[in-house]
Amino acid sequence: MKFIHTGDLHLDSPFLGLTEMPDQLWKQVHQSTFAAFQRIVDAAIEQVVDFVLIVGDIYDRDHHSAAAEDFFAEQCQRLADHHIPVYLSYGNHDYQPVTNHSLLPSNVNVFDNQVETKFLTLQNGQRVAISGFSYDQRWLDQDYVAQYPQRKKDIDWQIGMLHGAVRTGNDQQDHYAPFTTSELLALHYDYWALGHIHKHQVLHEQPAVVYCGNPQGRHKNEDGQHGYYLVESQDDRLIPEFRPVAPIEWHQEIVSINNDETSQQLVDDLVHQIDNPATEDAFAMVEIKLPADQLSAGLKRQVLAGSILERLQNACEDQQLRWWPYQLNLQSASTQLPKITDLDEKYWSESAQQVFTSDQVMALAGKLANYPFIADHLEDQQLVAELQKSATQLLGQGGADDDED
Amino acid sequence: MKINRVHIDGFGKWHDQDFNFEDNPTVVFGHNEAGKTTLANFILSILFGFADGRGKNRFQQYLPKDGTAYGGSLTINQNGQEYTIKRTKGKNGGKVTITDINGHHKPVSFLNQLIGPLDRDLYRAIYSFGNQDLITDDLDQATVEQQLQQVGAVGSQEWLAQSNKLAKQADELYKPRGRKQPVVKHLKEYQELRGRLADARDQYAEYQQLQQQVQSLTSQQQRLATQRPDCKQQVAKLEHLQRLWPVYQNWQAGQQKNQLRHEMSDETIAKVQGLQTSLAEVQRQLKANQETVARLSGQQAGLANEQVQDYQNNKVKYQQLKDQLLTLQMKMQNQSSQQLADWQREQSQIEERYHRQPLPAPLGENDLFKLHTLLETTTSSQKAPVLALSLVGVTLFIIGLAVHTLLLTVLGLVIAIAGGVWYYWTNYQSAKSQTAAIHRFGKQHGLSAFPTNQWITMQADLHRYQELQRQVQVSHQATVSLTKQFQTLRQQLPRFVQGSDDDALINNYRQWLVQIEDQTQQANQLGRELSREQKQVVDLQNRQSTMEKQLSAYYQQVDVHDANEFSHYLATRAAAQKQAVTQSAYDQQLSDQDKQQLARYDNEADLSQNLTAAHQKLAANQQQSEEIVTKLAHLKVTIEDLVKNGTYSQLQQEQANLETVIWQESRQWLTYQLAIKWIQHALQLASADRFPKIVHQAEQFFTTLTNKHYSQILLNDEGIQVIDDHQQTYQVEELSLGTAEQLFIALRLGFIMVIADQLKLPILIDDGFVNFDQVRRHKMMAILNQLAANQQVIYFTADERALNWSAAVIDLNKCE
Repeated sequence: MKFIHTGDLHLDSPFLGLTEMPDQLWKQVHQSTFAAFQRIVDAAIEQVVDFVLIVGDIYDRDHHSAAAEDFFAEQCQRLADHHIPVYLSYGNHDYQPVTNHSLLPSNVNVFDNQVETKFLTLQNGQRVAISGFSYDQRWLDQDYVAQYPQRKKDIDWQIGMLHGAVRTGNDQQDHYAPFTTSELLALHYDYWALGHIHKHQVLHEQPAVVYCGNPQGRHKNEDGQHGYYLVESQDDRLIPEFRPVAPIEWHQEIVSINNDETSQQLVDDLVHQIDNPATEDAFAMVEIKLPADQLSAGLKRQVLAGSILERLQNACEDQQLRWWPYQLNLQSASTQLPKITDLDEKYWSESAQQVFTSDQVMALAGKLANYPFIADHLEDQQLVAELQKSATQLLGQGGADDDED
Repeated sequence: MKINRVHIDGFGKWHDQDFNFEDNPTVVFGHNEAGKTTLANFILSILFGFADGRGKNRFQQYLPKDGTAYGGSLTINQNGQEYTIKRTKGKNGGKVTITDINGHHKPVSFLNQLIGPLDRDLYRAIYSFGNQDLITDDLDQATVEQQLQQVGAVGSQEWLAQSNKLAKQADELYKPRGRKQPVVKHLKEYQELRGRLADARDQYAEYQQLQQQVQSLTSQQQRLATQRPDCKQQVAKLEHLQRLWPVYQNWQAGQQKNQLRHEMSDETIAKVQGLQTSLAEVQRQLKANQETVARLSGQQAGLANEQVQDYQNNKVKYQQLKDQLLTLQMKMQNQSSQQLADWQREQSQIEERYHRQPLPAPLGENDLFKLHTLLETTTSSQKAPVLALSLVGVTLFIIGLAVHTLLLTVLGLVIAIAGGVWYYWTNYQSAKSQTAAIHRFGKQHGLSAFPTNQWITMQADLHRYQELQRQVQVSHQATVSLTKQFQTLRQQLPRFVQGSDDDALINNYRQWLVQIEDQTQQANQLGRELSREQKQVVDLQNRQSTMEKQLSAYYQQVDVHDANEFSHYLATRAAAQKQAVTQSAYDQQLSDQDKQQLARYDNEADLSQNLTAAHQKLAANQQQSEEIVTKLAHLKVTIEDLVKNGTYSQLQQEQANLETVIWQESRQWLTYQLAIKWIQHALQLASADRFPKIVHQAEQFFTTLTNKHYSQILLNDEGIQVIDDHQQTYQVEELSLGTAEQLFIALRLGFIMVIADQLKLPILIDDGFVNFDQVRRHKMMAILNQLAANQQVIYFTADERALNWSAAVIDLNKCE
């Protein structure tokens, strides 16, 4: 038996953290969530799998487009044309009441809002039971695993589909059908196909408890390879194998500088050093970190002004490189303040303590905080520290600026 | 910093003028319009830049009216080194050059080191004292305080500059109420984008809706497709029924109409009809018979009158009477009137022959003889009387023969012979009388009137005539007798037998007899006929009755009462049979199912209506189906468009990108703002350390100036308060104007004193302290002297008493 485990397709949801890019690249970026799933369907057909599991979050409810739905139906139809059934549960992003009324092809089996078990018989006669459920609301706090049945005796393979997060024990966070691995193992299934966490990972080897991750990362925190799991039976075990498909990969590169003196040298150096960090067939979105202390003040300033990034991007575009630098940041070796001879150090640190606080930041942001996306950033625990770092950098830089005038 | 020398190239009224400020304090004395203020403004302008043509300082440009070079220089002492600050006409407050004693240029920022974070206004607020400089001035208390604080963090010029620069950069990036800043613009864009996104998001709803429509339409289409054959079948069925309707209608009408209640076989009907014919015949016969009977009865009645009755009763009598009459008549006929007439005519003829009337009697035989002898002539014609007499005899004889009466016959015969004989004799006698004596004779015999020759010849005639007369007479006598007899007989005749004469009467009587006899016979015959007919009538009536009974029995079978009704029945039956044939023809055209179905409709209109409805349903089905096909095609195109229309994803990505941009900018702005706050706060912290010193110093000045009336100054979050010698606390607002001025002067002086370790700038006093009374003014002067020990004090005044002040004096009045 052979099947594909995927999920968190997030079809057509936007890429975060990008600003300027060539149109061609945008097109590629835009197509990537589609392309990733299409590759999975290609693989399913090519591998002649018995079925495909999709563990939730096919769409973002907030970013649900006609194109996405149409595309998904079309791809399911491709599977249908090859007689490959699809087992699908909806997750916290595409939660919905499951009804008999579906616009999807008939080979798609959608799990109910309550845990249910679906059966199928493989061509070799083996019987497979698949248990799962679909979200009917954004948050599911209750223990859904308790609703999963014990392994059936008269079947050959029992698979659990679960879109959720490992229980943290913090009620404020356990909103996604919280579970524990041991709880899952106690059901003695042959495979647990998990969804929700976008970084693919194996929580338990045998029986396998696996997060498939999203097939296409959508921001820098979803870096590295993304793809699906091809699960094959070996004897009485199901062995998952990760297969990357993401057409675009997010990478972070920390580059050390070889005493570049001119901006052109720096750009060439970066192009040379970074090469293509992505998997074959994938395009890399690269965030570059430059150690600030390795740069001259002038270059540093150019970096901060964004001109180096722009030139690097131009270079990538001109050379049609398979990667794109979307961010170029300075990395300070030390976060010490520049020397302030005139003012005692104690005034600075005392002031910093009072200025760099969430309250201050929120007060400053004022009505900016009315924008949810800004509010999200403002609520980031790291923000204040990062802002202090930036401010320190800025003041240090400010001194340098004056030297020039 | 101490100003040692001032050189003016051209500024207001001054041109190419030098002033020496090496002494400290220096009093600059001059009357009004002497140029005190111009000089003071020159110093400020060199330090802080020329006033531009705008704003509140626009009247402080002091451009030379005579066209000499604008500007000049200050030679100052800073930390023991002398520098010359030269400012000439130029942008942004004029072009500044700074040279040291050796003529080396210093950077412009060196000037910033000299004047610290101060600008012209701030400098005036702190270091310049004059009427217009006090609290009524533009710089309000809060600003002063703030500036005091900032300036208090001495050595912070760079940081303040940095802060200002950051503030500028921050403002360039974002201002909460700004319009042009990138963040503002991007947020605006973001809002627009969200609007467009919301619109685009509707596309998904639209897509879903369209898909649902497709699904619903497809199922509708399927449903319609399933329904269509039924519709078609229904139409076909109804059309079939409609075609059948006329047949059905006839059939149905036939069903209802011709239901014979009573059947009768053709044979029976033939019998009935036979009977009817027979009956009719019988009736006809009966009628004829009855008519005959009636007629006969009538005839009988006509015949059975009195006469007949009478006749019947007196038949013999009447016959006898007849015989008598006949006999009588025969007698009378012997007196035949013809003969009489002949006789009379003969008489007449004879008379005419002799033209004489009456004629003389004939000559007897003797006379005739005589005459004949006389005349020898004899007459003849003896045969006539014989014949006449014979005739009577013969007649009687015949009658006798006829009535078989021998008597009569014999009588007749005798009469005839006697008659003949008698008549022959008579005639002979008469002829002999006439022969002799012709004349006498003539006269005797009345023959005179006649020629004598005729006497003989005439004798025959006369004889004849006489005979005739006699015969006529006899005849008359017989006639009278007979008439008498006749009258007797006649009395016996029925009254009604009449006659114009006797013959007629007899004839009538005979006729009557014949007639009555005939009548009687007829009556008898009638009576026989009648009884025969009557018998026949009875027979016929019996037959009729029998037949009628039979018919009635048959009629009862079909519930009719008479032939009329029966014939009506037959007509009905015939129609029914005809109908039955037609009906069966109709029936063959209609199946049971047809009939059942047709029976559901009241009438053709109903059926038509149903058919129309079925047609409409089918048409509607087809039309709907076509519409759905069109709609589906349209929907599919729309869906395809929606799917291909990447607007939504594009906009989402744009939104994500814009969020990134905005956040980066906002983050940068936050960084700026935090840095500014960081600086300011650090500066506050630094200056906060100096406040107690400033306040302490200011208290000393304030106590001195108020002649120890106030002893304490409080500076806290609520502002500035003072406490007097009675420990009474006052807000600044509660103080008199003079006292308030003194308080701020004290605070400023205190501040100047305290920060002097970091920033020493000349104190400019322009006719200040005019509100001070004499005592306070003196005290103020003392304070200024005290300050001058540490700091340059330049006192501009028009007060001549200042000339008495122990200080160097520049007398502007003398400079001109």
